[in-house]
Amino acid sequence: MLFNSAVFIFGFFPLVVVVFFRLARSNHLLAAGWLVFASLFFYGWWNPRYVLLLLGSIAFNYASGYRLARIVRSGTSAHSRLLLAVAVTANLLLLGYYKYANFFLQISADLSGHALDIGHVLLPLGISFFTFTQIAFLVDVHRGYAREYNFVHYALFVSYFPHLIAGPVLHHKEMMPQFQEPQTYRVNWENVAVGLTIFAIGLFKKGVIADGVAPYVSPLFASPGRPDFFAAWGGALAYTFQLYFDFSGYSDMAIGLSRVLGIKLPLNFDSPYKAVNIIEFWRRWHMTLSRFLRDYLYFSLGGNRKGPIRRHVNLIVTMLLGGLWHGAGWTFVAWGGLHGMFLVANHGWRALRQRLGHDLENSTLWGRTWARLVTFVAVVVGWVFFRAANFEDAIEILRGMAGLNGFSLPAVFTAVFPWMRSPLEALGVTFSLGGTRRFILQYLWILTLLPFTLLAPNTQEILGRFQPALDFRGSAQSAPRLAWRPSTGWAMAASLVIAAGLLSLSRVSEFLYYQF
Amino acid sequence: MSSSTRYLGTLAISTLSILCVVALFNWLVDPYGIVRVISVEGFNRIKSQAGQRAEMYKRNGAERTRPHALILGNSRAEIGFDPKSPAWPASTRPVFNLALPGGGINAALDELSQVLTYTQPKLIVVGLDFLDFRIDPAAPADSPPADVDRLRSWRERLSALLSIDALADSIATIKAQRDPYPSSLDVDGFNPMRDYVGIARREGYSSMFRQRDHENAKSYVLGPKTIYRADHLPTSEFRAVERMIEIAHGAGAQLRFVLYPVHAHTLVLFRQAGLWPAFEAWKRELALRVDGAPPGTDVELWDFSGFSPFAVEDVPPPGDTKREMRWYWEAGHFKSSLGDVVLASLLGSPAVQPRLGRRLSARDLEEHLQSQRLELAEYERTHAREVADLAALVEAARLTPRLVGNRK
Repeated sequence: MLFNSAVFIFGFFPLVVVVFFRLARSNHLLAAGWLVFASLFFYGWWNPRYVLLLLGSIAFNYASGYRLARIVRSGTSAHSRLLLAVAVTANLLLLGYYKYANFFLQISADLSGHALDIGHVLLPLGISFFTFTQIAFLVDVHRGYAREYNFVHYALFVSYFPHLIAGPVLHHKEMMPQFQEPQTYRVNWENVAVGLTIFAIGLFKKGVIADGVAPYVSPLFASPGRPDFFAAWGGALAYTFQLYFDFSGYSDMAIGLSRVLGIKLPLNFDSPYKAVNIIEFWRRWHMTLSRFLRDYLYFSLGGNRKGPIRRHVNLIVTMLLGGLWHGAGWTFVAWGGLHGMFLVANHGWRALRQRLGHDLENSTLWGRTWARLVTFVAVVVGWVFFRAANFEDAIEILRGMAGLNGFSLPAVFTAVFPWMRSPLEALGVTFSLGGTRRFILQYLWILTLLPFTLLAPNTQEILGRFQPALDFRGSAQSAPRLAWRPSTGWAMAASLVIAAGLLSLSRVSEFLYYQF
Repeated sequence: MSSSTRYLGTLAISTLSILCVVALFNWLVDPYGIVRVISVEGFNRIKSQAGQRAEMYKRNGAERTRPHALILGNSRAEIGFDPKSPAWPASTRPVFNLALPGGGINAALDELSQVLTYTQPKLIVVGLDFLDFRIDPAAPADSPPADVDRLRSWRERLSALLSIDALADSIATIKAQRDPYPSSLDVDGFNPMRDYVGIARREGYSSMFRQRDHENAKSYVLGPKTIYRADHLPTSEFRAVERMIEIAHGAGAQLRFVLYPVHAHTLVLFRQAGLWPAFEAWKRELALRVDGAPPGTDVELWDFSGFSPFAVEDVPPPGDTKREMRWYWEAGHFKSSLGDVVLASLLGSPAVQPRLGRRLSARDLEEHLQSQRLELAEYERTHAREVADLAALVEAARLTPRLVGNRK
């Protein structure tokens, strides 16, 4: 079931909310159990068979965590390590089978020349998310940061429908206390107002913006051929915005839905394209995944504790695996590796500036603008690998972006601006027939969305006064003129946003991050 | 009442009001011609966005019209065969054009089946396109015709009232009323191609031909499709032809299959891309099926695809935006002026002259194919410069990386 579908918005969600608060009046555990049931139903809507897989994973990890907590309390660390290793390996094997089996078999076939076929394995939705969530839980139990919990609360933490399919990647320490909090089970109209407003913004981002710009992405990535400069940049930038509005729209919707139920989710996006360097980008993009990779992979590899060389190696390894987490393909690995190198270069640059005596906390407007532009271009280049079907396509698109496939504008351009024909031709620009309308609309979208993503306040900043999400450190001060409050004016404005989102339901499309 | 509950109440009422206003606006403008509650000059008479949902527009139109004659096919039929043509005998009127751009023979069969649920047409004219019969080796061998369920139809109607696309199309419809060259569909389903008139006057016919030739060359050379396949022909399409013959037999309707009168450029590109033998094989297969129709079936197969005086119409030189072509928009699409000639020849109408085309039968098909080969050779001899230009497009297309085949 999709958040941006009529059956979810007008059927499933209202029913879940009403029954939840009704049950909560008499029994909190029953109400939490209802949310687990609803979440499993939500998951089973896509493929009922995989509900058993999800339940099996929850039961196995709960039992492992329970046993691990007992061992940790008894102080036998060797046993604890062994059990942790077994449990984590089992999780990785499950993920490996469903997500990476065909990828590794292909590599083995390429190397050995002998193909092995295990048939088509359908990737269970959200498996990367619920596996990572539970590995984090097991590691924390082993470290003594977590203890055994009520099974219903644990099952809800893993299966909770707002985050189940595409995150945010939840952490038990921020969710479990909320499930135990009595006020979670009482209707709070402020939560409902804040939650529905955040949901409306998310629906608008997905239905109107991401799906609106999507038609200008596919033609380039489906069959790049030899794209010229404008076609290559047009497609790459359109995808840059599609992915951001799609995924951050999904995250807003998840945060908003959960808030209606009185539960706050962690922040997942914080205007990533405003970042002035790649380190900052990763603090703003898919923040809960970055947090997971940092806490459970980068730190486990030694982080920056073993010298600068090991730190750089750890960064690159973390990002390579982060890339592979997104998909079983070499283009994802390349994307991760590229970002790993960007991060290493960024750390190197900072070290150099420090050595030169620069103040890293203060830079000029020109310096920040330049840094933001360089970061943005680096991110767009990365997205080309992320989206391209294979390396050949990615390289061909990057060649186009570098101007190596020439520059071509619609011929109608010369009809509108005849005086520009000669100077442009002198610069090597050619003029092609057809595609005028598509070209104009594509660049109109891009020129509209670019300043929007670089300058406008984000959802959390607009609703900053009401602590829209966990980890949100800003306040209404971040967007003083656009600070939301439950007033008539804001209700009218929000109704325009939600109406536009609802009107976009007729072109229901899946969220891009469902595939990861 | 708290500020939050007041906010939620206002939000709900305001959202509902906006949705009602949008629905009312779309209902009045009616961009896809579904309800036709008002039709006002300068407001919504020209349905410039009807092509966005051509299938829905035409199904509704046909159901309202309950036509005695039906035109089926793809965009060539949609813009080439005008239901208002004088060539249609009085007994076949009203005529409705149910041809759909990009629609193959299976889509045409679907439309015919739909129409038969509420009326019995006396005459069915079906445009057949060689390019719709090719097989994609990567695709499943056979695909069943799409089912039209009632739920989908209701969803489409709802989205024609309550969707952001419908709202945008309503606004575009109002704006297009002042456009001298709006795209639109007539109430009888015909596409008068007013937008092409504007493009032709702005960019010239040469540009339109060049662009179409370029696209065709790429499609013919790079596409994965082929009529040849070791194991079988494109069964689904030929089965649809057989099914149409059965339907016409059962309904006692006249059935006329038409091979479109494409411009000579398209035929030359077939030859240069190596498709000519497949083109001939396709005609043989069609003739066999029509000849094999049950006794008493009024079915004919007509070939208008040769090098007639119409098909070799000269294209104005590049930069010439004054000279208009009489018979063609570009090499793939003929004008309704030529469509009238085709219909008159097909239906034996004296209203339009001269005559064109040839009725095909397996008995004398080889002789016909041989004469077309000679005409092709003659055209290539007398139009060496144009043929060389087309050959350059084919060669350039061959050097372009393949569109498919290297996906992971």
